[in-house]
Amino acid sequence: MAPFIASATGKLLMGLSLGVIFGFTIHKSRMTRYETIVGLLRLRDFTMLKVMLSAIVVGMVGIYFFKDMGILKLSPKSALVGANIIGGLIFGVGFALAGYCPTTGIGSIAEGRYDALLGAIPGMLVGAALYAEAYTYLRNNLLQWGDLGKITIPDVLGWGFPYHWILIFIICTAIIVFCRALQKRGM
Amino acid sequence: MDWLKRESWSPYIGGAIIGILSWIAFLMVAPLGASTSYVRTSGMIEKIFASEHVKSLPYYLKEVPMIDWQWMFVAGVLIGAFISAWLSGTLYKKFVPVMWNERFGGSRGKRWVFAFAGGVILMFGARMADG
Repeated sequence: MAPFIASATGKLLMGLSLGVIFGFTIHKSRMTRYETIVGLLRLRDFTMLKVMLSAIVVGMVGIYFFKDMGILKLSPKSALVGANIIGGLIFGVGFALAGYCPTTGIGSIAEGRYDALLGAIPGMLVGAALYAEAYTYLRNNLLQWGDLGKITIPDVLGWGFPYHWILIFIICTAIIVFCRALQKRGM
Repeated sequence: MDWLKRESWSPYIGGAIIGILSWIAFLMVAPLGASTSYVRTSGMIEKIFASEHVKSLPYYLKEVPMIDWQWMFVAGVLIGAFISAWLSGTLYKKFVPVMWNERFGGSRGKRWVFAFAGGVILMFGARMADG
């Protein structure tokens, strides 16, 4: 099985299968709805935040567990302070206007949202093409600002195994306490 | 198998499944992501009209316009979400979201302009932040 998954076709099929389960799950989690996304930005519907936070808890615990077992390698992207902040702010503006995001927007098409199919998704393709043009110029300035390299929070704190589990415990506890508070308030 | 036909699940269950999928992706291939696939798709479309120009852009050398496993992941999302919506009987044909309609009215053209512009802006920002 392992050699097949490592083959080119195996990887493509793996991607497709993971995508099918992912798409099924985001639809069941109401993430494909415009109302869920804009509802969070208006602080009226915390569904999307709950999905993301529980994905972080489960994902973080598993990934660090497998990392400590030595069967998984982290692949952090470079922390580019300038590009992360400015890009994030630009993303937020577009995200609020469109009410769809690159991954969930595909699911929105699937459930019959024509403003995603004809508007938001073609817009994202145009945005990607425009960025491909801009990259030629940005790579020598904006993309160099505040490059901290491929760092993780445990790296910065100098907390290797087993101390990063203290940090994981603190983050998970904070998320659980926060979600319980949301539930208690009926949010 | 009634749970497959439910209109929605608890968001915490949904998040937990996504967390587990992230382990599998990490263990088997690489971290999950979708926005790179937009770059690859744009490149593949542009290549039809301006193949030389695409070859000259450094960004398309970094993110080569081709179908890779992440692209297949995005294709899978389309299929999975469709199956879920079909099983739960929530397939519809909507041009204007309900919440948008309540605030900005039912004009399809107006909604299209904002959805398109939002898409352009968000993807430009997402690629800049490398997300």
